[in-house]
Amino acid sequence: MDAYIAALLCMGAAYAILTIGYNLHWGYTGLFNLAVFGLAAAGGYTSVILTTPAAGGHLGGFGLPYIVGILAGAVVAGLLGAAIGTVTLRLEFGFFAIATLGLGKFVIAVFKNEKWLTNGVWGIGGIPKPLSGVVGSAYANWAYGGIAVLILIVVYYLVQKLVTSPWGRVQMAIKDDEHLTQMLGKNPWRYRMESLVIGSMLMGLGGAVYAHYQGYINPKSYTDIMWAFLPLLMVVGGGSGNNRGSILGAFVIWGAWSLSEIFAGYLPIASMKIPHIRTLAVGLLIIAILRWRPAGLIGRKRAVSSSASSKE
Amino acid sequence: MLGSILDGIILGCTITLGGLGISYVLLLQNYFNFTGGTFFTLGAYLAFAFLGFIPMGSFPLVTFGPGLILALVLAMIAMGLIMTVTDKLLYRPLRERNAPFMFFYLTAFGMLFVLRSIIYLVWGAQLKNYVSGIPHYLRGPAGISVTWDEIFVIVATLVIVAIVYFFQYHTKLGKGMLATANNSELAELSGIRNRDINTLTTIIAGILTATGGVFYGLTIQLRPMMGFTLLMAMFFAVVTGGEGAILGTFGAGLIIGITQEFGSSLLQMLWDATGVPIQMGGYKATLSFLLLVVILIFQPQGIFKGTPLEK
Repeated sequence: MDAYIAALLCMGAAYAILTIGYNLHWGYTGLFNLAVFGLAAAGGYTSVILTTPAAGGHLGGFGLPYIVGILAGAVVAGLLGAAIGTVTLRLEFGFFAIATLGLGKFVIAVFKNEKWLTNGVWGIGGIPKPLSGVVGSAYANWAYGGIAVLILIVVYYLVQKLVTSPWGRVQMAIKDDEHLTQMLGKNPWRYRMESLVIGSMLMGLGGAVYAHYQGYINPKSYTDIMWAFLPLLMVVGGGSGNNRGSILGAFVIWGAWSLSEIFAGYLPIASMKIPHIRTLAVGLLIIAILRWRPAGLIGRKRAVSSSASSKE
Repeated sequence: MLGSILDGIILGCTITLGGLGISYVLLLQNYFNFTGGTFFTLGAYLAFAFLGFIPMGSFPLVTFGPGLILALVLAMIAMGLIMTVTDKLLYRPLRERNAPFMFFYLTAFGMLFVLRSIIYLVWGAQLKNYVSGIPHYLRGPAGISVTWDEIFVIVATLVIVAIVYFFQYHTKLGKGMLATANNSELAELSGIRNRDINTLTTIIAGILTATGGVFYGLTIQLRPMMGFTLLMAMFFAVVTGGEGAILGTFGAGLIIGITQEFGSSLLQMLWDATGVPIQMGGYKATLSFLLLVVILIFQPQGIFKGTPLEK
């Protein structure tokens, strides 16, 4: 039970960081970005390559500290997000979704095929987990969960400041009425690009936090189900456009997802079928939420500037 | 080399049929159906399931018999039904409450995973084939050889495209469909019932999607991810060909099919000649969406400039 809660802390926080980034795209700016898994993988792989000790056959051996690794992961994911945005942001909603899905798959294909960079399908192991040497292996996950939650709190604080600023309200205005925002002299393309880059950085950060928790990653660690579909459910289920909703969504959905693995063990089903049953349940859940509770668990409240007076 | 062009043409035929299914949904409901690829897979597997109850029989030359044709027809009916029910159950409530269009995409995305997991649960991850016989080859000059199954798929695709073309531009119902797509209120005023047109279009989309899946299963293989890996190619056919433009979609489908098969070996030769150490094998499927992104950026209205009204 203890081990489960520690694992939930680590994974939930990793997902919550990514989901806050996704919420910025989807909930605030209204971008249907489907390259999430590629961005998370870019962050994860960058951090892993920079922090692991030397290993033959692929790029690596820098042995940099954890904090440098994950920050570099965020930066690389942000750059990748900027590259994707340069190519796709001009496109309208549906085309944007298609193009980002394709580019996300392309990123994964690169990680899978370029053996000199990522060791291909064999993946990279021996990823350092910070503090595990200090507290011993019994408490390693607890210590790492603490770090992950700390990062999450910092991210939440910064993003919350950002979205309650005038910048954040322009993003919401773009989502609701692009032409009106244009008439007010704002450049929607620039605002969308900023949102895309910041969100992508958080996705890379989430992917990196995940990689250090797992200790081993390969291109299959970042599947579209786990890193595009599940985060989408976390955003929509928690409440689009509400960062607290995203965090709640991430922990609740991840809790349910990981518990379902434990309980499925007791059911008389072949173990090969379990992942598919879970995917089926998540798919039905997402459709049901859209059908009956489009606002999610806690939807967006009226957007008020942080500098506005509390008197109505 | 020429053999891979032929493979590309056959792949292009299946992509066209799947793409037309997506195209019709786009034409009337205005969203890109992310589930299209998975419907394609489901159609192929349904035909496989029906074949369990139908004796195959035999035709001259080709490996399959009348059983497969019957299974195909049953799969067409089933897919038409499934897509109609999905539309009525999931998308009509969204249309009626005027939901933001991101909800359509999200629902389609959710549906994709629901169907994918059902396919995995029912039929498993193993590769499957409709028939196990050795195909009869027709050998041509310059080392080209083509199986009769492949010839059947090409001819059948041509026939189906011709039928759909005739239906869309030369029958009253088809013209009504175009009218609804263009201006649904005006169409309603002139006595066209939009609801019926919607249902009809969805059924046609289901029929075309199922046919594409069965043809892919016949010439290549049945695998659970076959439609999803072709999804980008189908989107390419739709976007490049112009939504609802049948001949454009067919042309773009052939282009992307040939690009996937022939372009990767061509690029490999180029890399080898210039000494760039890239193995194209792993990027074969990604070629189509890179090309799609290029088209989206430079020519978002499609390269054939065909709108359904102008043919």
